Amino acid sequence: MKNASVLGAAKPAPVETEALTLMLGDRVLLDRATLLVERGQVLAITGGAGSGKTALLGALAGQLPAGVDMAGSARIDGHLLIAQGGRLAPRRPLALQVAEVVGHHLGLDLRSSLRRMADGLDRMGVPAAARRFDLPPEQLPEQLRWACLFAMAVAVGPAVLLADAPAAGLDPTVRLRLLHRLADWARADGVALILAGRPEDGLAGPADRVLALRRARLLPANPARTEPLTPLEPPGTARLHARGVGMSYPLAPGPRGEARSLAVLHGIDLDLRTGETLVLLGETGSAKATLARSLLCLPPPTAGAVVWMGRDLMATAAPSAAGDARGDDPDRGGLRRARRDLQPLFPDPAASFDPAMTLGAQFGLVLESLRPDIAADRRDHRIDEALEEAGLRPEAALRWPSALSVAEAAHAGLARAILSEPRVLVADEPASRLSAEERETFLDTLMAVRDRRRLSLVLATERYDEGLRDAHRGVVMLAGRVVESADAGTLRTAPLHPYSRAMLAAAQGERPALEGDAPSAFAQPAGCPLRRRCPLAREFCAQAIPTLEEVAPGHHVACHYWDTPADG
Amino acid sequence: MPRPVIRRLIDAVPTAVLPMVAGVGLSALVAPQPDAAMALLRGLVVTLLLTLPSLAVGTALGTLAGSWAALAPRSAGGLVGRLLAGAGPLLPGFLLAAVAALAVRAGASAAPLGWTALSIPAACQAARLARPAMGRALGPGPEGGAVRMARGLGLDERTVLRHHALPQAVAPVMGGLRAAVLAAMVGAVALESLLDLPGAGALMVDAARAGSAAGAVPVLVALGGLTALLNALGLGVRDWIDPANHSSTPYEGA
Amino acid sequence: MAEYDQPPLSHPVPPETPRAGFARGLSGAAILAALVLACAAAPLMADGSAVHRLDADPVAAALLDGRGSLSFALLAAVLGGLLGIGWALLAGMLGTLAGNRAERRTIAAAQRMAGWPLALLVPLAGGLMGPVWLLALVTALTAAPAVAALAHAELSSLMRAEFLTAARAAGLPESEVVRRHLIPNLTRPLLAAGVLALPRVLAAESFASLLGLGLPPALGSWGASVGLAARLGDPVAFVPRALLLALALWAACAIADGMATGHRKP
Repeated sequence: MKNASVLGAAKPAPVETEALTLMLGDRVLLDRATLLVERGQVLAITGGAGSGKTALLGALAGQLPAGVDMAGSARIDGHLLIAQGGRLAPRRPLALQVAEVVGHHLGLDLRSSLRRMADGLDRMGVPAAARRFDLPPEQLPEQLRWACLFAMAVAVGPAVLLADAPAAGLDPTVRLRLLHRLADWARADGVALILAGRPEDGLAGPADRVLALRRARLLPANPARTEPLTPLEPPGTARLHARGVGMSYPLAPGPRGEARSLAVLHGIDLDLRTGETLVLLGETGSAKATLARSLLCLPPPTAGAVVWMGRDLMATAAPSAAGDARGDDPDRGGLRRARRDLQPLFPDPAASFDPAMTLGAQFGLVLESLRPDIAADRRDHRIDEALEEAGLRPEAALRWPSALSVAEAAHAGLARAILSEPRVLVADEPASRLSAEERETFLDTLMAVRDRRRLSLVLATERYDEGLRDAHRGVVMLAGRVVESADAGTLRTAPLHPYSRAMLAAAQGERPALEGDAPSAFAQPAGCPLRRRCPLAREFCAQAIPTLEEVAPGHHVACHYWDTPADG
Repeated sequence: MPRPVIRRLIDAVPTAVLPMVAGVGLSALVAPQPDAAMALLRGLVVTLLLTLPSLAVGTALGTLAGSWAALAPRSAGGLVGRLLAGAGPLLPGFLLAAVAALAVRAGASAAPLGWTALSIPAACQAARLARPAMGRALGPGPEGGAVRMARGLGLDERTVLRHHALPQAVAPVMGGLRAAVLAAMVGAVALESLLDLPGAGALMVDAARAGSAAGAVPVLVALGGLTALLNALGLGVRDWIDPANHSSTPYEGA
Repeated sequence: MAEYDQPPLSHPVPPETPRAGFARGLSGAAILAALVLACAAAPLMADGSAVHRLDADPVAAALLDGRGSLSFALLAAVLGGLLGIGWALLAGMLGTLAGNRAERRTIAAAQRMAGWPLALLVPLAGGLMGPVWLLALVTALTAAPAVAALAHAELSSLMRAEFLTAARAAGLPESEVVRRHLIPNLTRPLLAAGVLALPRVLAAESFASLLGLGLPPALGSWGASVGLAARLGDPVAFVPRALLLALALWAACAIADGMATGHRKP
């Protein structure tokens, strides 16, 4: 059978299932799966939302979710299950919870339990200074909480570890580093490790074997698309210019009443050409979403200028707060014309629709505002066209936003964006709520729409490979600054900045060469923001923020030591 | 007394003690009767003795019953919890006080009836908040993550319920204590007036009946202080039972 | 089959509580409407001698008393709801005109007042002040801070909603954004916050009347009759009024809960 696997050693394998079938009501979640996982083997099971991963792990661990029936047999040795979400009792100090779990399994007292836990944290690469056993889990940073969970499992040392969506929600570079360390431990200690998660979570990298849960079957995983759908056309002339765009938020006044603010975006220069796809790459705190919104003047940036077709958008957006902005002004300062040409895609499409109106009514409002040239009786036709182009049926116009699924909402968001026939789409993680096939379908639709209309596209995403595969050019951002910008091919094959290299490694499932977690926006280190995590960091990095320098035509890097080998 | 409670009480001095002192002082200055200040002091003590035990017992029992109702809805304890949670708004303290007054007229003893009448609304409120929270903690939603994790880590069911599920049921009850305190104050005033107990509430009602603002307003101010005191006690108890504050266990060496 | 197409395993839909809350709110509204109708029709049930309430059939007398309680509660609830909503809107307006600090202070005042035993003001007002409209105003004031706090929370969460940004991206001027998106979405949560005043004023009035310091005897009130019956030790007069009062309070609370948790129409 196709999904039967490595046969093996003299001792029975720690995980063995025979024709395991799971049913939710009368829907089959898993159909006669035969699975064998050896000691020291790492298996990744991927599948989209609701494909039954959680039910499978629950069945293996003997904790079937309510309403799920099981048939067939599953045999598993002493196991631990790290449940989805990685939650512990939120207010109970970590030390007590660790002692409880380790003590329960190994019969150790508090102190010995914590010593084993400290060994586990060593193996997860958590520095001793970051260990805060006396804090409750809700006060720990997300990354440390996951590291502690893994370390707890290491401390117990089970024969089998099942992890449901491990480290989900962490930045790719941080997640992959943790998962690789966990897999190293499993291989070294002969633990059978099963990781379950969404296909885009990069579980395949650390695993020895990957199975995809599709249509109730465990099948070998399909590799994701790596090439553009259709060959990219060369871009035209630059139309959208951003010069020195910066954003800072006011904070509460300081102790002496002085005004304070937090700058999150520092003087970004960008040019976007017609038909060009530019991808903004960065993880949490990189301010890629802030930059995307600044390009749309939603809200306008606090510094610099955004120029669309020779018109400064900030100058036109600024007087909107003044009292003389009247609703009957057909095109106040050309802003409405610019809004028609520049349309956003939101990270949470469902929340971007007014819950009190049907899709059709909202689309009609958009047309009424942005396309007064389309007669009222032609609007429905235009709405139907846009819906069909975005992959929905025209009947969707009659539906309420609350009745849409997540994927439908994403497609409806795309339909609204192309309604006014814009020239630029600015998309901020438009597929972040989607998984697996839904995600691929949505991104394919987006690219098809872009090619058909020859749109310029700004795509902000934390997924390095997926973002660059359909792009002309990429900009890697870190802590509100551009650290590398080059054409997509260069970034995918030979990025120079250590952060870009780490993102590339994480996207390919390899071990990123960065240590630790990203610093908070309130506590950025002086000098280069990456220096505490960077393998190339030297003393000078603390003294000056590196500036962008051109290292090859069209390739800019902001690093003092980009040309130094990592171990030099 | 546990340290978090003391800390909360010290924090509450300006909002709790000052109004009470002001109320007593005001009544010594402006009230028509000569011994009004002493009567008010005595009355405050009576009201405190009436509300505090009934609030504590009612909230504790209601929380347990409400959690039990989510855990085992068909058991006896679960039925009580469901009853309390469902009947909440049916049984305001002042109406129960009237029932108690009726029973006292029929010959029952006043004190236990009074405490019962005041503790039932607190129990209802606690059960109403604890039951859905416990249900969520044990359910399939994201709030159930901690319980699923604890089971996945192989802990026994008793520990899971005690340390992972119950705190999630207690948290909203502690958050809703303010409303319970207000209801208990209103109930206590009604009870004192109907049963002719020498509490501060009865003093206020008598003065208001007599149309004497000078007699009623100081009592009202003092009762506001008493409410703040009870709230501070509630916050202190919340801090005290909060597991996050129990980290003083020695584990140096790890 | 069809409902399992998006199974609740990885992304569980919340349990059916909103619907349950909605159903409870609906039954509460039905009960309250029935009570109002019955109280309005009570004079038809009683014969001419019903003017002396304590002599009449206890159920009919209880229904007669309900007329005073319910009409006063409705009046004070409308007043209190409007006051609270106005308070929240004022805070929101101060926030846009005079900065966040003014807004925070305005709403912090409401929150602090909501923690104070305001219901005790009602018997005080009943004893010290004369006219009914003044009593209604004080009763409304006791409910307003809680309404204001809730309404402000709803308002500020709505102001951050993503669909407002989407509307601005569609080039709608601020006035249109307010008219087309903000007001339609604000009506329901504000109404839900306003309805919160109903159980509070009903309870406050009954409490004051129970002590003999509420509505004047001529108007009739459940609280006053319950208090009188309790003092006289008369269970026959006590039980129907206490039951009706409890039922009305439950119904008012159920409506408020149902409005707060009930889902927007599909």
